[in-house]
Amino acid sequence: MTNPLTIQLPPKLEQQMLHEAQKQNKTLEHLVLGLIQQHYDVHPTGINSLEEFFVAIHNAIQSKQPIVQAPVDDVYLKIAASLKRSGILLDVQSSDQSLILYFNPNPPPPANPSLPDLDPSELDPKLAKIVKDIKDEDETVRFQAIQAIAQWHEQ
Amino acid sequence: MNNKSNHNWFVPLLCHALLHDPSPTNRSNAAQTLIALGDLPQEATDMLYIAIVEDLDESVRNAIIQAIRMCYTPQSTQTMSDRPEIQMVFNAPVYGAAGNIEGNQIINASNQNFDALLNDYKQFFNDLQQKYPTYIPEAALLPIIDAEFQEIQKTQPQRWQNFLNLTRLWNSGKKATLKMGEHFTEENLWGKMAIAFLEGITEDPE
Repeated sequence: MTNPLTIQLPPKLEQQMLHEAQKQNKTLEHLVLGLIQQHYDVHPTGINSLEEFFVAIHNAIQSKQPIVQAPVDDVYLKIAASLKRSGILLDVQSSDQSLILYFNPNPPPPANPSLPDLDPSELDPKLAKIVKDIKDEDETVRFQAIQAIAQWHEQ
Repeated sequence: MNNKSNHNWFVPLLCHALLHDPSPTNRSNAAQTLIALGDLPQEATDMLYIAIVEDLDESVRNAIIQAIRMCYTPQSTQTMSDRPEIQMVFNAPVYGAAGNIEGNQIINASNQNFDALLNDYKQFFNDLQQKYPTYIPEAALLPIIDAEFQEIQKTQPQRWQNFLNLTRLWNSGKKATLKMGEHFTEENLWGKMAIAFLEGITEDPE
């Protein structure tokens, strides 16, 4: 969503800005907007933090939006590469200005994590119980299995 | 069985719970425990990102983000490219400078206000500690505190607003003027959580 803003430019400043806009092959409005965004450190894509990046991707998936633009950033690029590996994104393109994420309209369901190649009967009984409980029908039993892992790890 | 073998089991089990458990609480818990394990293989990191962007429950997505915050100290002064691979930078609200016109008067009023807000926040964590006197693992504390914050937001909006105001003061530099140990014992898990949440409370915990 954008809101209009009317400003009165002194003639000399207007001439200078029109000249600059021409040089940059932009309209005067775009030049002014860019300068304001630059001043307030707001990226034109509207994404200014990693949290907003994740929210933009989540919203795009929910609304079947085909493309999201984000600032060029190594962290974003790594996450995008991860989402491409998972099949959520079809492609990621990077330019000087922005990253463009292309969404897969039919993403695959998340893969099942691969368990170690070990016979569960050979496991430590405590671990064997966790392996069994974490897929139990009872939500509380599954909760306790996750807690057991957390506790085991902390010890 | 050694730690490495356990890790090899724990990671996929938690990933399975993260993506497939029907209970949002369990999914949040699995994510938090997974992040706490650390040293995650690429497959697990990929699954965490899937959960952050795909989970339909906002509380799960926020819990993952919160857990990431707990493990990676946010440094808002860093540029984007300097940040670690998984690090959330929350936009801390900017607390306006008091200005010069009324000088000390405003600063003193702000100090008094800060003390009152901090005391109430400490009271909140003291109450929680009494409510849950037995040992609770760190990963399990996060959803408990999140739920308590959500309850405060619903039932005591003014108190919730006070917490937000406190974080604004805290993040605008107040913490630098305090001896942390006088207020929170970092060796105590609740104290550690109080500091972490103070630095990471967002406008909407849901």
